[in-house]
Amino acid sequence: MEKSTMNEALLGVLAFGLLCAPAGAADTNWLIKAKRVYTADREPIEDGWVQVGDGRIRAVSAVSPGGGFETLEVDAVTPGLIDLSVRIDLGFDSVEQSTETPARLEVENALDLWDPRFERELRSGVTSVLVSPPDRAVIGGWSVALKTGGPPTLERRRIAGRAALRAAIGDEPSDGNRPAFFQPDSFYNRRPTTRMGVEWVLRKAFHDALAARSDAARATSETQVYEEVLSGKAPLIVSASTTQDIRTACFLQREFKLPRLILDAAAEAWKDPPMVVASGASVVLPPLTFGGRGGNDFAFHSWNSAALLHERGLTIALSGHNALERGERLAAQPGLAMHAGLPFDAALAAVTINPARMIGIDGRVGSIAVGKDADLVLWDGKPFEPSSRIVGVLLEGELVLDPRTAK
Amino acid sequence: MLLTALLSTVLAAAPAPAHPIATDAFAIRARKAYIGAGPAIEDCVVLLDGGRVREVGRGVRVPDGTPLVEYDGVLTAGLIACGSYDGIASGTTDPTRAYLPEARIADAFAPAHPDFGRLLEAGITSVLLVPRPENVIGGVTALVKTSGGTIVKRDAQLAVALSTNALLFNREPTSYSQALMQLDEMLARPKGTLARAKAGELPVLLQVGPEHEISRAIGFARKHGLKGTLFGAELAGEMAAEIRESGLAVVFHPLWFGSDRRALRSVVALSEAGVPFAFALHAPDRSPEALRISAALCVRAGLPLEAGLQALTANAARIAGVADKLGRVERGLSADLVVWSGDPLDLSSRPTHVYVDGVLAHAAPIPAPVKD
Amino acid sequence: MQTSPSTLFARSVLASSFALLTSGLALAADKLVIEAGRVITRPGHEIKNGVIVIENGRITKVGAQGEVDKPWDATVIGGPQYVAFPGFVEAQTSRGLDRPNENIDVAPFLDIRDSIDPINFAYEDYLRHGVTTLNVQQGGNCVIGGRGMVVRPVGMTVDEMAVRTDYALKLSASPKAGKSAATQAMALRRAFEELRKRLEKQVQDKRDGKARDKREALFQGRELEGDKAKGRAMEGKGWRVDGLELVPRGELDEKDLQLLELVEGKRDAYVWCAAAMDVRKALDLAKENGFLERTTLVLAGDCWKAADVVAASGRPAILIPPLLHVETEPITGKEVETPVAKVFAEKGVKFAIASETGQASSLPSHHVLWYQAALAIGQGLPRERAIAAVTTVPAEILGLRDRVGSLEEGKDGNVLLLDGEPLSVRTHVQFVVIEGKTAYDRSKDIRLKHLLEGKEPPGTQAGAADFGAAGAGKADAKKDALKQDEAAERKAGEEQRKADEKQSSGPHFSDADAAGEERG
Repeated sequence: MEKSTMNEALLGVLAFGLLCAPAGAADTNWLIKAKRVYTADREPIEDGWVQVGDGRIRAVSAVSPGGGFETLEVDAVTPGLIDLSVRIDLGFDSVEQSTETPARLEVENALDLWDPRFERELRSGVTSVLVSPPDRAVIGGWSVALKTGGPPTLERRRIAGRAALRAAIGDEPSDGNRPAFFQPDSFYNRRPTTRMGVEWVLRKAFHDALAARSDAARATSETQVYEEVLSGKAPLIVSASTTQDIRTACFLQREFKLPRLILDAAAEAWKDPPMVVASGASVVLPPLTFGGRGGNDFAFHSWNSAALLHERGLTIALSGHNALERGERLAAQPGLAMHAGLPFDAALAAVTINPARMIGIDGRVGSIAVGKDADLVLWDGKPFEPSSRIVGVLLEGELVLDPRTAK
Repeated sequence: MLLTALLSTVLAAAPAPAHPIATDAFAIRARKAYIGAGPAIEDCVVLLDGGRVREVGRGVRVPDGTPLVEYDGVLTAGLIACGSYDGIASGTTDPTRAYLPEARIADAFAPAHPDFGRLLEAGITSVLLVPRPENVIGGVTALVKTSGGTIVKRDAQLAVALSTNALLFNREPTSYSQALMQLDEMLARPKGTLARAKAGELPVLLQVGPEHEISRAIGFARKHGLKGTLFGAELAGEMAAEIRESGLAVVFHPLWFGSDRRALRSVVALSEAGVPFAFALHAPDRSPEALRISAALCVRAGLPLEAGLQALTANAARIAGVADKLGRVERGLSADLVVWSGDPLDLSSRPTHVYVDGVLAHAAPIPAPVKD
Repeated sequence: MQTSPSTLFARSVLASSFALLTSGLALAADKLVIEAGRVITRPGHEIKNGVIVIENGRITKVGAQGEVDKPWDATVIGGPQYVAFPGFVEAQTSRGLDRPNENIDVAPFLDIRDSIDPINFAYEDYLRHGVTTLNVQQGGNCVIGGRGMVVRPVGMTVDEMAVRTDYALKLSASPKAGKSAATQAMALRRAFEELRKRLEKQVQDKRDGKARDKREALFQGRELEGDKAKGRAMEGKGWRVDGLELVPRGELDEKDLQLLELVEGKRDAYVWCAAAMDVRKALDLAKENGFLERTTLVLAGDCWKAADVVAASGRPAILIPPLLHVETEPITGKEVETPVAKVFAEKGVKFAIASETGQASSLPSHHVLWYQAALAIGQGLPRERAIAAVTTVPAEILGLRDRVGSLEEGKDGNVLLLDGEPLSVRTHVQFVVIEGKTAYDRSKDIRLKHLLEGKEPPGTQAGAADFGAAGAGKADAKKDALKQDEAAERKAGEEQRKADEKQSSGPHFSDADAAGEERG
């Protein structure tokens, strides 16, 4: 028995290997026929067609564009999903802790592209992700936007290298720091050791950057980084779960007029939406639950956070973090948000075009539009229903999950 | 010297040798020999003079008056362990500084250490001493002989560990990204060994682990135009195309009977891609026999026999930068020779006679059966 | 679990709101007519514009509008916008217990009724998500655990909740914490061997004329009259102690009775298997000791590898989420996913799906039965089988086939009124009827309102409501206390902020408001 099941397991692997085998160049040309084409940035198309050629979307229409490509027929097609808060890093090897503001560092140099979690994301429909350094530093450095599949090199997978600057508020960045007492025995003998200390470090960083504008002598390689955020060239993505941390982030935005603020893991953003609205921030929510109980930092993540924030006109994105279980993955999040009242269109946007716009990669991904990367998810039912299945995934036109064999 | 004393004890214990122990000219005839690239030579004669090989081949004429020692065994060049920690009692890790570009392991080993005697008995005549991968820049490696501890090459490579082992939680840097940035900054205005590495005078030994570390190291070498070797890249075979393109060589960790198939297949794949590779030994943590067993296990997994032998001799010499001195049985090279009781990668074979610089450094004739 | 006075207060407030709801219903007429645009009686069977008549708690008629006589004096609920559906049945859970596991290895004499907390939020959650019958068993961290109980998630006392008391025993074929697979197997074997030895000794004592057991029974004040004074030959298929009829039942040690009933084939057993290797052990143990025919296997994801063994045994199974088993293939390092429910379905195993996850770290999204069934469909399980796995199959496993799991005449009046297609995220349970009484009305669900609007229930402290159910799952008293302290601190901070806000002279907030106007 043991032996035969092991063989089955191996067969499973082989089958999976075949599915993931890089297709020939000819295989990036497809015609997809779907009962519904959810474009994400425009109205859905009933009985629509998507033509894919050379890794890009060539045509989206209600009539067949022809072209002689092989046709894949499915119930629904959505853009590839985007998660701005996957935690697929190398733990503490991915964040510098010898200083609280290693802002110049790029986390792309500290990632494992062979990590099987990328492939897990890919086959569950997530084609683009933002990876940030873990929140053990106040300003942890540059996050990177990546595709979840393709050859495992940064050159091939990178969408945007310095997609956002990562900062963190709350317990985590000061965790591990401590006073020196009588024996200064490591670089962890330092501020910040409290939430207010964390805020102080953040304010000082941007204060120094402002000072450097008028006094070139005060400019450093770090202030140059902050200047990119102050000038709006790059967004600042701040991890802030509880109300107090979200408040801190919003105050920071007020004080330094940060043009592009993203609140990540913002479980309690729903508690004071006007404050978030006033800050102009967009919000990335942590995985939703049925109970409304949970979230980092003991935060209370309301059952319908997403709907509450959406009604206030905030731009939201959903995240599955790096969930192992299917019910917690990104593709399940819109369903949970819809259960608590978020309309379908808003739920779709929250895992596609919204996150793409937040970090400025919407020129390439985030919707089904001519010229964009052919990152597509094919469904055998209504998207985001737990009882629907993702039967196909295309990454830049390549079928990484094949609907013809998935059934 | 202690080692000499040890050796004389060994020799005294053995039956009286039927050959001279001197650097004078003499000849060895073996039933079979692997002298370098290419198939074995039957009935091979090696003429030695002054510690070097003067002539080698089948039917080489032994001049009159030149003593001839005949062995019913198989002759190879002395094996080279491409990465080991023998004779380094004091350790090579600095818990306070991650960058030690001017440290030299040649200054840190004891030439007469008994570790070397154990290597010699296993047919290993030279060893590349490397720092453990616990500093981002661990220092300069050295190649030494196992008989007498002679330093063959004082500055073989600059060891750079782009490895999680070098990222301590309480020493800067704690992250790959910071380590890379600091290395970039040092190489932007290089001094000392770093300047020599950047100029291509000193190869680098990039100590790595899983695929992402290999990939990062290749990127680093390419960015700064560094030449050298990936060290410890167990899965290098799965990235063979990328490695071949990088021009870097590979040193594998020693393999053992429990090593998984993925690691064995990796060696075979790398060989098929034509990337030069050798094996590290990591003695004294590992048994000296692990070197020969590593190659033998790979041959069992599909590596051509010659490629396995090359990894232990000529390729190892090339990686250590001493191909002009060691690694082959060839005119002008050091007479570091091993006579085996059978085929060297047959595990029932053992070295019976080991010559270093033409001097018999170890002899172990077949012992009498053990009595109760 | 440590509970702060404020938490207790919060719970009693909520509990009393429930008490009002249920006791109010007790006064309602005992005839109920449910009308719905669609009545799904059981998987694959649907009546358009249907009517369900419930009298004295039981369904008396199910049929199409116009074909069914409605009692003139019945209360009528529902309407064409609703879908009537059988109440979900949870085949096995340990939620709603203060602590789900007992330290003693072999404790069949314990009864879960002493652990059930009727006002635990878990039962409220069950009701909210349409579960009307649930089998509460102790956790799997045992050798032989206590007796379980089948309950309905309504009522202020365990007696009100009870559907089936003194129910099955929980056993674990997988190592309890601190045990190895071998010592676990040994402990299980030894439990039955010792039972046998004790029984044999009592028979021998009786034959030898010793009255020690009688004296002990009298000393403990046990009844030794009537049936208790009679002996009875031991039954059972596994093994038997000859001469047990010599020993009056009342003289048997109370601690041995439940295990004896198990061996005699008179009691159900739920056997937990955390890994495929445990399945064979579980079946062998049940066979050797004669309770195989009353055994239900409780299986974690890894057990898909033993699906053939389960199928060959003919025993039903309960599948514990996550139902997508993820494993790393050792040679390639790649992740392999296996849809567990689909595999068991293809092997012809009869199985129920449970909502409780086997992993403590999981998010509470898994504690929802219909959601798990829906996920199983998304993993390739046919829809009807998925619905059966949370209705008719668990009813059968619990021996309640004639009472719950489908909407048929004679069965308990357990009906859900849904506002859409079952198992869809856009559908909500609007009404839950349990045995003819409205047990849940979404429009009156106070805490749902709080969950949705993010408001704390009146008179409660922040966090008290947040951590009830999550804490029960984790059973980490210290952490809970810490959480509550944190929550209290946070609440204090919130109040301070609101006070500041009222003063409206806080520099931040006047700025923020101004900024809002600028943007607007």
